[in-house]
Amino acid sequence: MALFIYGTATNTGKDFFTHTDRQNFYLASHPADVWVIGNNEKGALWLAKKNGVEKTKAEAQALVTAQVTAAQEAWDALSDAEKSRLNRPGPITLP
Amino acid sequence: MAGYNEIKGLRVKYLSSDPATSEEGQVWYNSFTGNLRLNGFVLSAFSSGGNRNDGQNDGCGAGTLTAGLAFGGGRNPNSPSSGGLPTQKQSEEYNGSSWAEGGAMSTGRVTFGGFGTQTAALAFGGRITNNTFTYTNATEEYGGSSWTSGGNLGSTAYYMSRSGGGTQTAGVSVGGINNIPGTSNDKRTEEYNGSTWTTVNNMLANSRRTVYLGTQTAGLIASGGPPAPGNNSAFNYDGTNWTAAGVGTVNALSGRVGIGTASAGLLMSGTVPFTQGQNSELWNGTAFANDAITATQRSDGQSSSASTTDAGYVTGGGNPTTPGTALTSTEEYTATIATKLNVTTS
Repeated sequence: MALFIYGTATNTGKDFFTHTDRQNFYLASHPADVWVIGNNEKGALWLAKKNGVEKTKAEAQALVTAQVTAAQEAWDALSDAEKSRLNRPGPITLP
Repeated sequence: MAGYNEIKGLRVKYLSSDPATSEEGQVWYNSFTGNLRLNGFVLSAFSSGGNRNDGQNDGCGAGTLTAGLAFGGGRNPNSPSSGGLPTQKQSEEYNGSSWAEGGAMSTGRVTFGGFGTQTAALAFGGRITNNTFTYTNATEEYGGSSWTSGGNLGSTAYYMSRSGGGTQTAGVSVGGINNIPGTSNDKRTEEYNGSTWTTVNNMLANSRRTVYLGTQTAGLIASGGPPAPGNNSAFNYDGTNWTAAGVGTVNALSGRVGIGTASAGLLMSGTVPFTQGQNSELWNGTAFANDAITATQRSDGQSSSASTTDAGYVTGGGNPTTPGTALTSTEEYTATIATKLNVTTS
């Protein structure tokens, strides 16, 4: 069984994920509203309750990579002064 | 089946009542109630809090989980080459579930120092314009609805210590970068008495973007830079002298935030884009240990810096993948202690 479920969902704020959720399953957010969720019943139910859209790992990775690429291009266009203040966005590989 | 004695190498204590004090994981038999008893564990985790009205990166935080304050910072977008918005004057107040607009500072600023409570906060130094970069030594004091001017710092600097640092009338600022070319005040310590800043003994090492936990007379400073992405150093301050804490943080990060005191604190998030940017570390007065992880990587956020370590938050901060932008999400940290439970077989 795969370790994770992948999906997109919008963080609506308070109680979007709870203390109990965090103890019941792994949860991490990534760019493009991509969430990586521990693959168990409670994790799957959480994504459904949040009106999330399940993605394959490849689909989720493509969404993240597209945003990272856009961010890198934005960084490349910055002035040298601004570049010295900000890290160039690095690649993100979903687990 | 192996008994407790074989597993732990200890016998279960046979007591007529629950012990007055017990430790995590301690087991005993209560002969009065006839129950096998367990002192439960601290269950800490981050949950989502209310979303901000505006993201703030490199601002400061004050207050507690249910009476919090975030002020200043850079707003999305703040890049000078993209014609971004200026540094922020605004503050937002948190009630434990949602954010509302607070009073605006006279001067918008980022990378400054600040601490306090929702009704008595302090903001000092920092960068005040984006393009070109200019800096200030000015201090502003928040009274719960409006900001008024305070005494000027002894030097114009940015990236001083953040999170804690005392109160509006007994505060401390540590390290930072002096904006005068060829000079450095990375070790500089200044104390505030409610009207005047006074330079006191230097810190033992250069520091910037550090977390300060505690008060003017009992403080701990941890992590920060240089070098990038951060270091794991920690030092104690007793109001007069600095000493090495003797132990370092687990993760070498800069741009973290914290809650708690010099003897019981929590460091959260940190330099991105690094996976450690989700880590938090609990300080028990003796050592740091990894604790719960946030769902989102962020650096240079704002915390409820006057919170104790059982309930606080981190909000805003740098977005790990989009330079110059700020997050609007909040994550609340809670540590639930499950104490003295009956052990059952069901």
